[in-house]
Amino acid sequence: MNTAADEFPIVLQNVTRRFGKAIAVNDLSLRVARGTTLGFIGLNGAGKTTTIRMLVGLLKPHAGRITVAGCSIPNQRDAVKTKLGYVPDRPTVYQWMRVQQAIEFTRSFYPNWNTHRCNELMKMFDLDRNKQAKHLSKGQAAKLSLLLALCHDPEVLILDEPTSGFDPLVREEFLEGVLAVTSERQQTVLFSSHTLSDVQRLADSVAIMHEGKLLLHSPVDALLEKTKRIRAVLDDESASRQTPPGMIFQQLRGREWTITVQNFTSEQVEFIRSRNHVSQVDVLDLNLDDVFKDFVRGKKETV
Amino acid sequence: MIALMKKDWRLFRVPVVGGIVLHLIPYFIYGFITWWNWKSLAQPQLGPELAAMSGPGFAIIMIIAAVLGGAALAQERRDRSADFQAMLPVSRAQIIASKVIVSALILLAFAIFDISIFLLASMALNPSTENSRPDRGEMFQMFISFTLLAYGAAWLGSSFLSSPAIAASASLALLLTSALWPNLLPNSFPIREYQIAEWTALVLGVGCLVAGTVYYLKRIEP
Repeated sequence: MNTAADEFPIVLQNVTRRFGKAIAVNDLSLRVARGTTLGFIGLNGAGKTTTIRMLVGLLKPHAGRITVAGCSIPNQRDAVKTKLGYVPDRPTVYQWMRVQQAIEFTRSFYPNWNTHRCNELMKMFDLDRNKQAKHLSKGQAAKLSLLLALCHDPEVLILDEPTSGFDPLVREEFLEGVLAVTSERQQTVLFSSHTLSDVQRLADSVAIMHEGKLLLHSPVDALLEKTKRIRAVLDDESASRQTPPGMIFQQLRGREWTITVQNFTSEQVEFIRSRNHVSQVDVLDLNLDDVFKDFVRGKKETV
Repeated sequence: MIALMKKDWRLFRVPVVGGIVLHLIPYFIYGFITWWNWKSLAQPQLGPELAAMSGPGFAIIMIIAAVLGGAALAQERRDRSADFQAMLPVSRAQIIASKVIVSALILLAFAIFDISIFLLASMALNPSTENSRPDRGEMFQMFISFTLLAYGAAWLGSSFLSSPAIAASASLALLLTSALWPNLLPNSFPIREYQIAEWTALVLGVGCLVAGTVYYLKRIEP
């Protein structure tokens, strides 16, 4: 019989974390299903890194419960380490170590170290074994972090903005590495990034954080299918407008009125046509980047 | 554990090299002065001078203890490698044990060097001069107490600070205060000043070491 921990290796329940009077993460509840990849997105300061640091046991939550791979965090943080791989936003490996030394040092703590995978990734990432960590480029350092996080075959992989500042080629190589390993082993991945095209490509579901709160958690495909932008041309831009149910953001530029809606149905289009004086109505598809921006802008306007 | 100890040895390499250089400076100075004045000395004697040169060595060991204690945890926190170490499947107790063992071995090596020179050189001392010096046993007890205070206080600072320099400086300030505060006591006080200083250093040193260890073990952040 499958337990909740088997089904959801990452679980956050009503997690809160404050820094002084500022609330970085506010009553966050989130679950990630086994073998899926969650894209964790939000503006700077939205609480992504704080959440991730709590998940990996580097920060204590002030309230709520966290479970990773069946271990309660932070109480069982030592037990979870063999089941967890973590790639931080900036490389933290000892800068004086050579690549080979860093691998040997890390390997000495993991009885289940996968040497075959390590060699494969070394080749794929084209890392120089004799180079010191401090002399690696940003991309190479991140690849080394990824290699060290993956070679003990973790059940859960957590990546905190690992590709920020990479050139497109290095980003591609890094993502290929992630995809190659995670798809093969059905790992559960939480992937935070500002590059939403990467998230759209890697993630099965997406969670949007805003000002410490979870704004949205949805499968990527369903989100893109159900979130649409309706563009209408108003007869008179100064006339009052009635917005359809499910609206998350609207914008008026001259007579062009655009409304982003969630849970899209043709009734929302009909609503706009029947309750407003509009001459033309179009429905547009959105990519994840647009959806994210409109959700956050809509939230800001509401506030 | 061996991997951790190797890593900690590398972490402490700079203070160790600095300690060796500082240790050798008084001997070089003494050697140079002796060589310069050799012919003018009526009865050249190496023993007393060498024994005196080991004195700065003991003080330097206390400084090295403060630097090692300060660097122990704060250094890795400052360069964020503490995050890397915290993600490895090792317990906090193992991390602490490795650092304390490596630090103790380094300090012991320096102490053996200085004590050997002191003992060998003082064998050559004139017995009458020897008798007027403080008791060797008491001197070593004071040295151990103050070294423990230097390391323990820096260790406590290192357990929550991100700056090894601040932890080490605060430790040395506490060491000086502990050494000097008995001078404030009246002359009629029944216990001798150096004994009060020694006990102050011992109690504070052990207290700081225990407090820093307990705090680090309970702390969630690396």
